[in-house]
Amino acid sequence: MKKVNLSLPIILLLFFAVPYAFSAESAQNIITRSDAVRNPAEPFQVGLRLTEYVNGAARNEVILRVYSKIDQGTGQYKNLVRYLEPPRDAGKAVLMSGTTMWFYDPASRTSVRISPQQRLIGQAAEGDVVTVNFARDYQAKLVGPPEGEMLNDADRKPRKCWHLELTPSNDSAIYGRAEYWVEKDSYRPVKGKFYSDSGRLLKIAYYHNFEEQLGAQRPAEIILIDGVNPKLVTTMNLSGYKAKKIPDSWYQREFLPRLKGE
Amino acid sequence: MMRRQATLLLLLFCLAAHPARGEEPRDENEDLELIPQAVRNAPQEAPSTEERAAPGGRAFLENALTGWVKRKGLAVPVPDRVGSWQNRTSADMDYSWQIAPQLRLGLSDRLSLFEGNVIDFPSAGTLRNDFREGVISWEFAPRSYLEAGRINLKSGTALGYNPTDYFKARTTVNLASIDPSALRENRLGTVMVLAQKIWDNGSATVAFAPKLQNSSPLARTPASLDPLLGQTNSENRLFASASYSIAELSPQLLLFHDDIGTHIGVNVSRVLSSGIVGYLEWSGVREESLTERAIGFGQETRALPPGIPVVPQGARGKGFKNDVAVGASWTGISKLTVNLEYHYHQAGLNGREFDRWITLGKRSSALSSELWYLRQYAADQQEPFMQHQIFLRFDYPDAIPSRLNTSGVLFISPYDGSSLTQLAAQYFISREWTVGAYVGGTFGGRNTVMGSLPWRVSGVLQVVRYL
Repeated sequence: MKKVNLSLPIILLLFFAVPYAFSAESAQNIITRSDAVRNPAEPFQVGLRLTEYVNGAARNEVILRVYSKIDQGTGQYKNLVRYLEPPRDAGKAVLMSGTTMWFYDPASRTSVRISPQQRLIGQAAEGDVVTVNFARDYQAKLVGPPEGEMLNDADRKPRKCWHLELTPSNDSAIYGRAEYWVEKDSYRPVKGKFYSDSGRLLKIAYYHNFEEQLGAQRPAEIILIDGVNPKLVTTMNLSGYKAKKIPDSWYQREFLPRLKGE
Repeated sequence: MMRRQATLLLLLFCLAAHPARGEEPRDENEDLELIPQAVRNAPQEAPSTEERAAPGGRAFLENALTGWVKRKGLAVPVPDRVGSWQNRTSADMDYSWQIAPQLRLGLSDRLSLFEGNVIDFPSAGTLRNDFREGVISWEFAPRSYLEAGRINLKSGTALGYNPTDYFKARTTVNLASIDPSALRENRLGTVMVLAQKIWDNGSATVAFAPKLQNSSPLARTPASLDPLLGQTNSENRLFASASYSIAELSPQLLLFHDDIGTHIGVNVSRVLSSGIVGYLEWSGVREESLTERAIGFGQETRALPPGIPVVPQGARGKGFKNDVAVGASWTGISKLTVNLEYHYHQAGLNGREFDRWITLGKRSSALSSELWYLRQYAADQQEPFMQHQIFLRFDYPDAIPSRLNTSGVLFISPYDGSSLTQLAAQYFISREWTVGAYVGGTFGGRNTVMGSLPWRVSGVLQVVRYL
């Protein structure tokens, strides 16, 4: 009786399975570490200046202040956004905590509940300005080579990046799918492409101008290119990071009118 | 053999490491060409928003020119002169200041100058100051507030009608106007003391609004600086609400006591899918019909003579009545958001009673002022005139990116399909300047709910300069 040699199938199996198992595990790790580059772990506030460009010309500027804190239950960030400029929007506020989202308009003193889809409206949508842990809402998969691929950053400097694909893992995920490039070793996000549920490209994001903020090098500017109309470009400048003790009670609809110049 | 296996394994490793993409890989660096030169030339350091003091509010100057095209051949003639145009020039401010570590002062006021074809110049109607809010707020413990003054306390989740917005009655300053800014943003607060506690998962609010003046009649022209306490504080009222975050429903339970009785209210809202939010408001109280309340109020304020014969509604006396606003908002992949709501106001008129309203008005022009008084009272109370109403709203922001927002509202009467609509466009010229245009219309035959209104088309041109 001839002995069956199982070594080849086993080796084949290992060769097929191990790279995928490795890439799946490390992809989630990459996205987690990249989240830590973008987002401070402690509760914080940050100022945002959004400059909207249409056909290459700056047209509108919005200034916001964002208060972010990790929800201990979900591991995802809770966010409060307060509008400072332009004057017509001053005092407006948005609460985003999981799928609970409220918009407050001081002119009419009303709070309106908004849907997750409404986070995507606008050149720089609410979903872009809030702090999000991608690792919590998305399953990451390495789609590029494990050793990385070369990609130019926003300053046209070549970076060796892991190329990841993100698919939603829960209802809180803002986008239907995303491609994400993270610089090897530094874990800095370099570029993201974000898609709707139907697969339409919604936004391209470039992360650059890394600065020391709250204990890590974080992007001070994010360039957002509209996926539908690429002539619409928004720059998001982040500044004034400040660690802040934020009570959980702030993340209530009833607190929105009381969110003043803290 | 071994070499063949090694070659095969190497090939398989390459395949495993590079999963097939199923499409030609594109050059991702091409996206960099989409970044405009102006972005690259912009200052690389972000100006600190931290140094920018958060504004305590906003102030603006506004001019709103409103025009109406009257409807000819009204089923129920209007007793008063109907305006065909009105111009309002306003200075508006809404600010709050931290005057001590735990003490905040809030002021909200609008001073307006009116001209129009039914406004004598000069007269008490020429100048109007609307003192909307003046409140001292003390945070005596973390997220525990005690407030006193004139406060704009609003409740409710619906857009077209809020049954649980118990302080809405008589807060509208200019009833004749369809100027949306005046109706939505120029609401008077109520003098009250209020206490509120906000916890991690909920909140509780209690408020007491005392009677400060007897009720002022409808449709009068008050003195320019009259704070209109006869509208907002003509009875003692007690309010309590509690909310708790549970099952993503954001429920709120409300109790309200006034001269009518004790009202019970509930608000709930929930995300139903990524693009849909559902919401429900209900309020119930033992009360009389809208007509009975209107006649009683008219007689109390001596606007109507005693012994009025006109009572279009069949139901008499107090009974438990429900108010409901149920609806949903839908946001698609485009920027469009649509709200659809159904409003039920049990105290309002049903179809048969409205037909009687029309019949009586046709039969006797002497009754027209009383009949219109009923509708005026409903508007003053911010209640629907009819029992059933359908409301539709759309919002389409950034119709021109960073420049133009558009929206529209539509009230439909399910009795006869008549409707009242208003389309709005706001154009942002610059950081300081906004131009708005509003066009409205009433559609339906002369005997219909909306077609019986005295105006057919209306328009508002608004210019705002933010300070």
